[in-house]
Amino acid sequence: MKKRILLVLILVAIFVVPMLPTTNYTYSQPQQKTVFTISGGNYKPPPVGHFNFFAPGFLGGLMDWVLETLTDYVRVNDTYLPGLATNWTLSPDYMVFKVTLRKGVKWHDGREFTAKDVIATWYSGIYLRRDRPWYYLKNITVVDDYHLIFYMKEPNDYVPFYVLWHYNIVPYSQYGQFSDKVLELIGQGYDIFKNPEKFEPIRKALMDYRPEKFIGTGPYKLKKITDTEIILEKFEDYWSGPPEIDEVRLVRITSNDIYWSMVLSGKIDWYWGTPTPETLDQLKSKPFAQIVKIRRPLGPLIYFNYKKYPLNIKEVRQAFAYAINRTELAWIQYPIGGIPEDYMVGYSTLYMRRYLNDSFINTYVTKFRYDYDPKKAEELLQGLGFKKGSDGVYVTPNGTRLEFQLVFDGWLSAPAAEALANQLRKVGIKLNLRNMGSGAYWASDGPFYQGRYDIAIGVFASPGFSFEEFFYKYRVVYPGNHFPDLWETPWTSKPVNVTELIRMLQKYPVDVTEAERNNAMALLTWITGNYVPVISLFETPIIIYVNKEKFTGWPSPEDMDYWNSLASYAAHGRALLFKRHIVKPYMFLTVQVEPAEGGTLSLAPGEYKYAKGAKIQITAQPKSGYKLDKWILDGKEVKGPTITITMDSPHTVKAVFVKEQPPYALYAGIVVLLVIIVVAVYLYMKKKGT
Amino acid sequence: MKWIYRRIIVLFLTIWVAITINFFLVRLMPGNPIDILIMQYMEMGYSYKEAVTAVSAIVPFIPNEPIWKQYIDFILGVFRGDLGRSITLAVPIGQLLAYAIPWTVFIVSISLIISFSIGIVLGMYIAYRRGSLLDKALSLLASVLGGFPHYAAGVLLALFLGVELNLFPIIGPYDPEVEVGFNLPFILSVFRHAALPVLTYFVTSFGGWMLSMKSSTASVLGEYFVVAAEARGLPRRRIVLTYVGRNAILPLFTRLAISIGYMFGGVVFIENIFSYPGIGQYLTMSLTNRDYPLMTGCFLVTTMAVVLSNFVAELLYSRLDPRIRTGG
Repeated sequence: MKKRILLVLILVAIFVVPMLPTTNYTYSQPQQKTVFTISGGNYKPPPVGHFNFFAPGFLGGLMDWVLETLTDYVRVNDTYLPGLATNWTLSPDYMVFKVTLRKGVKWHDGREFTAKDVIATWYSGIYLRRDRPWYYLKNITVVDDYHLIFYMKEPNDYVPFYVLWHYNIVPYSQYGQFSDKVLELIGQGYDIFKNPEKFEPIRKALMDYRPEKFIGTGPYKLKKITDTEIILEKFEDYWSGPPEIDEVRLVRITSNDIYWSMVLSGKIDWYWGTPTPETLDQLKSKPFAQIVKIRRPLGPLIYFNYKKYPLNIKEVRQAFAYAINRTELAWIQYPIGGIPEDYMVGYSTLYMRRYLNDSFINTYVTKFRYDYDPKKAEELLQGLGFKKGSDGVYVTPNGTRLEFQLVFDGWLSAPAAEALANQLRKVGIKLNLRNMGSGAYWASDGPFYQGRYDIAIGVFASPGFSFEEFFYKYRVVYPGNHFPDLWETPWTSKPVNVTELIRMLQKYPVDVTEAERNNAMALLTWITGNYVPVISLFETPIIIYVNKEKFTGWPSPEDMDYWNSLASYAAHGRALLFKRHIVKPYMFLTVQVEPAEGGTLSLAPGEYKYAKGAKIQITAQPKSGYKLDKWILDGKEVKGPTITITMDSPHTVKAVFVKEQPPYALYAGIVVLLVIIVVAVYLYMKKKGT
Repeated sequence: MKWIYRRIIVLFLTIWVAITINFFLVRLMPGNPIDILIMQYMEMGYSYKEAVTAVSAIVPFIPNEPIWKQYIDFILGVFRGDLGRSITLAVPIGQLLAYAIPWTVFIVSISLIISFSIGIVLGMYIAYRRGSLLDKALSLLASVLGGFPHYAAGVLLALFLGVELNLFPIIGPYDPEVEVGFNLPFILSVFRHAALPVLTYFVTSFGGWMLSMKSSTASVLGEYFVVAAEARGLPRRRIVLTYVGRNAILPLFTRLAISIGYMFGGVVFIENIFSYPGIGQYLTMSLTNRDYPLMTGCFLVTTMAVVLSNFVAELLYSRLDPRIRTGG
């Protein structure tokens, strides 16, 4: 019997315990602190996840809160804002880059930030991983604690970007043990590109290194890391002053449904991604949500293989361009609205005006829209003498069917590829689809690099990237698309050599002026638009949501220069808002009057919200028969007709009026005086009478 | 005794076959972690060669030996208790699983105990009241909820009880404010955080236990020994618990043992919904990243859980029914 009772009690306990009110342990955040909450994804707490910036498994979500880059980059005007570095100069020959560091910057453990830390960063992980900048860098020297010089192997303006913005700086106190050994080997004449085996033990030791603490110079310090959340607290000694928001929390969320339920209930303050249309509609209906849709200027690009007849005929490729409904494909791949390319020039037109003037765009580029026109596509094919076969597929005069294989990977989704095939089928071109895994597809001996395809899907992005990809990398370096070298243009007396053009562009800005670069860009734009060796389809839409009810200072939704800059380096770009004290929490001020009929205030009773740090002045105006007795600010008395409140935390202020009392003391004084006078007169009269 | 030796041999053979199939199957999947990392570097603007160099420098090892050699190393490692290292996390898999398994066992055991206990009590109760309104209502409810997938039930419970009513936490195994250790706030927090995962399993599974117990009880109720016990005038409580309950529950015990094993696989969805750091989390992660060694390690655990629980079920049943041992 006792056992049964015990069993029942255990079962009851199992049900009841979770229901117990545990106010102290609930998910709710502390009232007094301002907290910015974001998703930490599926991070792994230590010992699985760790604090080694250079090794796999690093807790990357912490990166831009705790660590910092030397500067902040403003993409729209291509400038850097001073941060850990206060000054920098690139020599006119692009061979020497000098950097001056800020004095007085502290690491989270109290140590001083110096040039040794920058050296430790560049000669530990970046060097041992043979990251890209070291292909161009010769060495780095320390002038003194606050001055460094980066020497290049060859002229370039590429490395400064990596020095100033790409890499976060890690402390010498942790990574100096590796950089010192690397420098020792370099001092002995070894080089990681020539003698990688010499550096292998150091690289292995670095990969196995697990720092006990995560130390940075950034605005937030790591306070606690659990299986549920990472809690970061503001760094009081941050070089630009303590940040405005007390805590940042990264919640570990592994389910998309739960993540979205938290976003929609206002528990998450930031989102960056591509939601479903239904979720986006729900989010738009929330009063706390500020939503911006940005375009990532990259997307799928159709490559034609020039070795495959009749894809080497310009009109055939143009027929493809007219037959493809880019808008439909964009919406199939991204149901919230992919962004179809305006012009078929092989790159994202977002930054076109950086290189081409309006006159050129209006005269030439506007001709390359290739708007969806299946009729025109068929006319082009028929103009070549192609005739439709019994199955509706065109056949060339020499009997070749317009039937091709499209090889693609995840850059084009399978439904979008099927839609593409259907669109082309309508104009008599048959596509057979071959969907491949990205690894095999992009391998250097894979079909894309080696040109084992009729039609394939590559990637377009900025003009510089895109032209180098399809006119150089997959043509000169790898056989890829087999495009020809020479292309005729209306302005040049002889055909343009695209290889030479690309090689020339590679020398910008060292040996090539901006005008020469833009001229080359214009030529390549025209060649691509006219000959259609590739077709840029659409760009990726990204939705950014921020909580505008809890925080203020967000760049306006119309400020697309800022928001679009988050299309790459989103975490770096977001950090700028917090480091530079741009985003601030709202602070609530409750204004009360006692009694209500006692008087009025310059700020009517009620609840107001202000950006943190705002100074609010309130003046009391008593009504007739009343006077202001005092103010009560958060329980403390303050005197004076006006009160100034600094909104560094939530406040409650109450104006206390009192009725004006008759001057009893005066009356009493007068009475006493009169009594004294009367008594004095009486005594005087009495004395006189006697 | 010979029977048990045969069973143990079959047990090891089953495990070996299962992990062998798993080993080769996961390696037949398209893509691998190296390719995924290379793609990430290429998206950053690296050329293919530069990306390969950079990835080679950070990946602890690239399994480039012939697959048969990898297989032999893996099998030898299993005997040594060494499951290798995760490619993406660069941590010994044993260490990962040692951390994850307790959380999974915690959820699985509590869920099973509660759903089993309540299921059999209700099952017996409605067996005695067959045809009543309560019987019909509970049977219908059990059928409906039993057909509900874990994932849908979990999401709905999280949205309703966690987000809308704010009754239970929906993220993680404990509150970040508490100190991890043997202290009351931590224990309470762990139970609170386990509430929804457990409830999810309970809601979708108690009906199965209830209906099984109902049918088992109903069949026992018609037995002569029950009638005889009633005729002997034994107290009703004794008849219900000792004569009916004990006999009706026997077949369910073996099913319970099997369920433990299957739950290791089924808990994947629940752990993912509630960001619970159990073995399901690592299994999902390893599948996404094509982390072969970790994938194989996770499959090994779930396979062993299923095979061992089947073995325990057989043992239990053989104790209950000696004909199993003799093959009679």
